[in-house]
Amino acid sequence: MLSVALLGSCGGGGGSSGQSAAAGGKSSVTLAWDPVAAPNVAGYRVYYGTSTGIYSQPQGSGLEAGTATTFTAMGLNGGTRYYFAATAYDNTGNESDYSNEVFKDIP
Amino acid sequence: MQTSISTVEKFRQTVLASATVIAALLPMSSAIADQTTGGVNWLDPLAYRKPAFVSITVPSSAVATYYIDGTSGSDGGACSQTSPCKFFANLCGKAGMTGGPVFVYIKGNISSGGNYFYNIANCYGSPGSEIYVRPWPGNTANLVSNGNNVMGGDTPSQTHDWIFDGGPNLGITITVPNDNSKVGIRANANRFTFYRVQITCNNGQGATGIITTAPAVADLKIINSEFYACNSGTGGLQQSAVYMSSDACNGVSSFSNFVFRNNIVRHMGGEGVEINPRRDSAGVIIQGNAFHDIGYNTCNGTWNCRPAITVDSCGGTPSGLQINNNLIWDISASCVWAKAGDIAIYNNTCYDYGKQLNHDGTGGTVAQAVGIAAGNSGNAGNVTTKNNIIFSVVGKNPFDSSSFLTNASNNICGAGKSCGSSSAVWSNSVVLSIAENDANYLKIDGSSAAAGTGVNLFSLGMTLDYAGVPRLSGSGLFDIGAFLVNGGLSAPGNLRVVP
Repeated sequence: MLSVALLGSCGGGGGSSGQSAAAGGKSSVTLAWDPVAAPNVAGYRVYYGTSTGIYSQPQGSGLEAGTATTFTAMGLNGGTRYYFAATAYDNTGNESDYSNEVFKDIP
Repeated sequence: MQTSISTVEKFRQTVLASATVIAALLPMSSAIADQTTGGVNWLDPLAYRKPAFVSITVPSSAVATYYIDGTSGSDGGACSQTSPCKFFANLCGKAGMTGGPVFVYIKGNISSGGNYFYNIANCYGSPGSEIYVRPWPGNTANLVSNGNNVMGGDTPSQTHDWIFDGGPNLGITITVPNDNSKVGIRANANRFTFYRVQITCNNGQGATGIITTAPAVADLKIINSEFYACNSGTGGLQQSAVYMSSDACNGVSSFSNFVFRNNIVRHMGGEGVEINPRRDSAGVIIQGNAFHDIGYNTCNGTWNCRPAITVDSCGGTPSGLQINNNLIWDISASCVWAKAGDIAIYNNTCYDYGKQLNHDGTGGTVAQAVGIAAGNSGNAGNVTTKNNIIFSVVGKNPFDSSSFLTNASNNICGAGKSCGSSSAVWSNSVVLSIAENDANYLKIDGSSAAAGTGVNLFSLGMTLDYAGVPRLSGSGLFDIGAFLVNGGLSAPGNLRVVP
């Protein structure tokens, strides 16, 4: 399953799975990760920002990827480097630490 | 914000990713549907900190099935569905009641009639073939004590092999009388299991919930049950949720292999659990329980404010004691008063203890306003404390000055306090939240001083955390306190941009 989210300029969390809107003239990037091998994983969240290690969403409020292990972020501004990390969470409120960080330069 | 996962976290992820994750230590029965899917629907409004569900093995078939309706059944009933009997004692002597397995469905208010069943022959199961008691489908049952309430007898090593299973909704209630001369149940026989049962004083002053008073009571297990609402008044009664081996000092009571796992004990005016044998007793596991709001109703009486867990002796000495993975907070006196026997106290979170208050907010008297007290009686043994968070909001010490606190390390305690070698200093940032209503209350993340700074105790049985999450095996680093970092949840690996 593929999750898609449009990155808003306000940087708040809560992007919805399956969102298909795309901003004109803006780009997207698709991320993937290995699943967490634990029976209590309820889903994943994606965090992003324009500086390494500094994400626009507070921890716990990342973009919702559901149980998918891929995520497409849309509406990225050209000429900008975006940094991404992912977390796993369970249904009792636990959220993992961040994954390794990756970046993408948007032309 | 973290830019990348730490070395410790990378190691944790590697190990956990390869671990076989299990929810419980005990084998699971595939025959009982509510065992595999039911869990426990705790009553505690703070249930986001609920203990882990533990599966137990129960009989999958029976040689006989009986029914008890305590409200409208008959003392002379056949104990059938159409002619239910009234008391547990009515079962004794019926087919299958000499070795089991037998299914018993119960509903209504079941009176003890003085005793539930006392020194009655032909009233027992056997290991693996227990008398398995459950709520009558669609109903609940309430065990109403009105006497000595014995299940078993006074003879050493009586064998009964009964399992009381309230199901996911804790559908069997043991009502504790508000009379300190009585108790909820005297479990005076071998191999009783109370599983997913609620034990309550209904906001009364209460008495002790489950007690043993006979010689050589073996293998009492209390698992996934909830003790609550025994804290009305300040009359000084010293009721406990559980009291192992009550008797006159130097009397006859003793036990072996007591298991108290993954229960909630809350709003208890007296103690949570008291271990206090009159003869030598061996084997205590108090693991994975939540204790909160304990010991505030006895402060003005003889017994003073009380601890969450007491280990004492009054003639005999307990041995083989393990107090692990418990989440203990809001305690008027100590988290653990370890006055007797050799005791291992590992990976507990003991927070906001020693408050030394009556429930009305006035100051109370306390004998041990420290996190873990050892005392100095002749029966005291070596108390080992490792990987514990021990912090008093009101500044009380983590330990007393007992010479029996011999082996303390890798604990976290308040600034300026002493809690053994390789200890760390508490600050509020050790945990994610100190707000009781927060879902992250007393949990830790990878940036905590408790993360990866414990000593590895896997080989000593510390294989799970409070929530039932597997701890690192091998030589991996251990977290301090009851909770694993992030609930043991690993971060996703190998995040990558898809070309």
